[in-house]
Amino acid sequence: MSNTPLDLLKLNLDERVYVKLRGARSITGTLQAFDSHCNIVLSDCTETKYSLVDGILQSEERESEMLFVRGDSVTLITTPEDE
Amino acid sequence: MSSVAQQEPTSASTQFLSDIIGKPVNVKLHSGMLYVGTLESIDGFMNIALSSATEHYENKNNGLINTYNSDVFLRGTQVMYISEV
Amino acid sequence: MSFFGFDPTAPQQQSHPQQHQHQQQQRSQHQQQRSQQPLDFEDTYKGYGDYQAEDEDFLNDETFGNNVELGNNFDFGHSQQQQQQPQVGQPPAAPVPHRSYVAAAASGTSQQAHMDAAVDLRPMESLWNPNSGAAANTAGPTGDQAEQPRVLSMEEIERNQRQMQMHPPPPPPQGYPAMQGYPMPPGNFMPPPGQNYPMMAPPPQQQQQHQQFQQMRPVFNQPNYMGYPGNAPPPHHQPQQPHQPQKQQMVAPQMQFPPQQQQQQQPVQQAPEQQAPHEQQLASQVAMPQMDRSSSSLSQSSNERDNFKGHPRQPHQRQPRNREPLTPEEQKRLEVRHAKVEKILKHSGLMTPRDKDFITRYQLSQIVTEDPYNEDFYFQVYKIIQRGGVVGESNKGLIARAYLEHSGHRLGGRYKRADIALQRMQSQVEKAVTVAKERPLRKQEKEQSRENSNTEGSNSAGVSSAGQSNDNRDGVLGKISSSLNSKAPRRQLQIPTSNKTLLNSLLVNDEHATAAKPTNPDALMEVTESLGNVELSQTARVRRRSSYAFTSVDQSSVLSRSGGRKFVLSLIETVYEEVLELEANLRSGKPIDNKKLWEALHINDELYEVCPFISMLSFDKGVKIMPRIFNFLEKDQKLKLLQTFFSELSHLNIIIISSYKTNPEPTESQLKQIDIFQTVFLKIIVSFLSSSSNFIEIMGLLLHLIKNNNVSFISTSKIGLNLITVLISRAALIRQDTNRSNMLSSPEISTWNEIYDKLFTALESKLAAVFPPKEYIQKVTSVHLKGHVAPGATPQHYDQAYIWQFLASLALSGKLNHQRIIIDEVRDQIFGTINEAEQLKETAKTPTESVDDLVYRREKLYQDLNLFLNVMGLVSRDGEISELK
Repeated sequence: MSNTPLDLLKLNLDERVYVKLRGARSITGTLQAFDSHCNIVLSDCTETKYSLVDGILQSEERESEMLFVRGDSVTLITTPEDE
Repeated sequence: MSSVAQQEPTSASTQFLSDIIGKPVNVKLHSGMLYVGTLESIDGFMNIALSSATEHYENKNNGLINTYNSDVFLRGTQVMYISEV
Repeated sequence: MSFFGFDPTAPQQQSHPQQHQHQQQQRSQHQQQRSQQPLDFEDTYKGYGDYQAEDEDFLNDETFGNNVELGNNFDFGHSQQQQQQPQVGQPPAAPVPHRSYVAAAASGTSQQAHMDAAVDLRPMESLWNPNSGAAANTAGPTGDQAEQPRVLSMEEIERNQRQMQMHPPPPPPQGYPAMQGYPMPPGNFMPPPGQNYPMMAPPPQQQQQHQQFQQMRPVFNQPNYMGYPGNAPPPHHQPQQPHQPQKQQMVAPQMQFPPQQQQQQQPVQQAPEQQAPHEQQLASQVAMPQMDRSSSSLSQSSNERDNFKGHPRQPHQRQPRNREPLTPEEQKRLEVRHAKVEKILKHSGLMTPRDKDFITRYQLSQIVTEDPYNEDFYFQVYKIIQRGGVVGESNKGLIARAYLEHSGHRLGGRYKRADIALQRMQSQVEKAVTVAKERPLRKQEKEQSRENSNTEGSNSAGVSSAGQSNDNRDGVLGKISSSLNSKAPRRQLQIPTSNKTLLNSLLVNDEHATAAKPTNPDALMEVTESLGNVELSQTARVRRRSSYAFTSVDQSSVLSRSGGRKFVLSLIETVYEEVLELEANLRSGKPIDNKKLWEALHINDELYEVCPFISMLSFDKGVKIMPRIFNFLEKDQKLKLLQTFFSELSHLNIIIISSYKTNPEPTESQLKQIDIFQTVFLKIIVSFLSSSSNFIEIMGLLLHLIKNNNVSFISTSKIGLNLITVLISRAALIRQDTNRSNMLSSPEISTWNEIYDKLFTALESKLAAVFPPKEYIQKVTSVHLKGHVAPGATPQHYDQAYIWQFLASLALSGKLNHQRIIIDEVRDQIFGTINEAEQLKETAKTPTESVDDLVYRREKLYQDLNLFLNVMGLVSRDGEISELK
């Protein structure tokens, strides 16, 4: 069994994943599909945007049923800690 | 690998990358985030999988931002460098 | 519904032999005819008649071109009329109402039945014999010529045609606006090539069809829809021309589904164009029985067919006859055209608007369904047809049932989205209970009353009921408002304890009254050994048993004992790969070898503390692939898989998260997981047990469960309880079945008794614990409420049916003393349920609850409870428990 990073990513298909994006954003959702560019399809997602307001970290959330995330902005993918 | 001279560096870096699999590594992203963990696997796009990774900003001394219990996938295009700890 | 009762007989009513040939009289006769029409369509299709006058319009020809013979023929009823009276020159476009099935049935004469058969046979033939279409085609022209002298209409038709060429009709409006509301677009009329219709009309022909549809709209379609307000045709039925955009439209909402579902949905999405013929097939199949009724149907139908073929439409006989004769070329063209029209007509009129509406609803529902396989009506019917081969009476029944189920009759429409696996299990339990109830057991009843007098002393709790009818259950349940004189059928009661042997000897009982027999401990071993591969590998089991129960909800603890999360996930990936390969082989006709798949499942893997297969089921994707895995397993492999499954039930993540003990506060995603497991895996088990397993195998599975698990823990989880229910209710059914044919050997029976005793012992004194505590119920319902509730859905209530089903099957397999213990232990819950139901009787407390809702919930509570009480010959209603009458 070859074990490239993308092979390992494959194990997370149909599982919840936490995707870190550029620009202080992250999405948690069920991994439906991905490709070698890290284009990702997620379902039942929560998008979180972090921002510093007056030096205080704040976050804003948004739910979507299905998202296609373009690979460009993906930096990290892992399994969410909670849930 | 190939014996062609100009491919030597490629070969050497490939060698390096396969040598450090299973070892603790630092991975720095363009964003400045530093990930420290055990290298599970790496491919030619510099996509990286780490296990038991910790997240820091720039320097490990800057404090721990996050700990990941499960494998972390880092996208190759975002990787600036990888080094053995 | 008239789906199965589309009525081709309506034209029959218009038979007027005196119309023969006198074309000049036709108009007046037609008036007459109209006045004599039964006009019962008024009842069903309001407004139909409004358009009637239009059909008489002389200017129709000018308006629509005068190839009206085709247009008229598209009037579904009309065409049949012509079939039935081939020699009658028809007035133009005399509209024939589609009568309701009821009306047809009421007024149907034997002659009509003949006609039905004749008409129905035509599509049937094309369905079963693909050549018939072609045959009809070639027969057409000759028939035309043969008929010509008699009818004298051909030339006129030709002339009309020419006239039409001189006055070309207006081009059909784009998007067929005229057809809006017509659920079967031209595209459907021209079925995909290679189906039942060997020939398709060339493009020019289609233009004519457009006209026909335009004409047809007023006479047929629109009125129908007026009769069904609120059933407006769905958007995807309207303009058929732009097929591509339309598909896109339909695909777009699909994006809401995760890809897997999407894949399943895809074929359905593409179906609409093909559904019309399909539907006609259905309809025609259902029509078969009518044919059976008529004795001479076959010969008659062939006559009819000839007539049908040979007889051109004659709507234009009123036209002046001073036209030039047709050239042979034109004649030929006309014949070809007739042949085509014939083909199209063959299937016209098969569906009433209501049928079409039904189809429409299904097409819509398939777009949004979450369970495409089970909700796909076409697929269900297809399965039935596939299985049956030929349409026989039994098939007809099955098709009808599929239809009923899908139209929501069974479940009352709005409560339709019930859990299918659970439904099956429930029906199994219900069936078992019914069989038990049906046994006339007067004798046992007498026995029981005698025995009651023995046990009366033990009546400590509860109000004792009136006098002589003192049932022992009174003590347990309190007041029972009935007398023993009732001849209520009751489950046999057996008293196995030694001090009652005398009574037992009095029992005139069927074969399985084995209670008095001394149980042979070896029998268990004997049967167990006969199970073959059931033997446990003792060391492994002992090791595993040590770790059962009260595992934390945390998946990782279980996963770590079977190789870790990553390992299990990679196993699942391997399994998926193997399944996909096997499926590919299946499609391409290559040999199937499931060896690699079997290995990938790691069923026999004893390297790990917990079988990796069990851990695979911790993941939804591991559960979801199971049906596809089962497709490729041999029976003994399935059995082995289930043995492993039942042995290690305590390790099953789903048991842990569905038990209120280990997971008192389930999250929405966990409840979803439970649902998935229930619908997918429980269904597999139920169907395996009911289709291919025998009594010994079921006992073996139960034994695996009891020996290796903490049964009382498992019974605190919904899934676990359901699994136990599935096994014991299936066993009860087999026992009931075999009681009649005396197929169970006595060692089997005593083994069963022993296994049951083990099970009962494990549950005894903990039976009340199968009911989750209030807090848990509140939590579950609140999570359900928080979750996206489908629009129109009723507020969720915790459904305890599965518990009553379990208790019912447990009581069903038990003897009287078992039943007594069960009742004693769950008495509070019985009365609690009754109280709850009675409280619902009072008016709705919150404005969100509708009265219907309360009534339904109340009924449901009683229904569930009675499933259990019926086993003991009791029934509860209106706050009281009484003897079953």
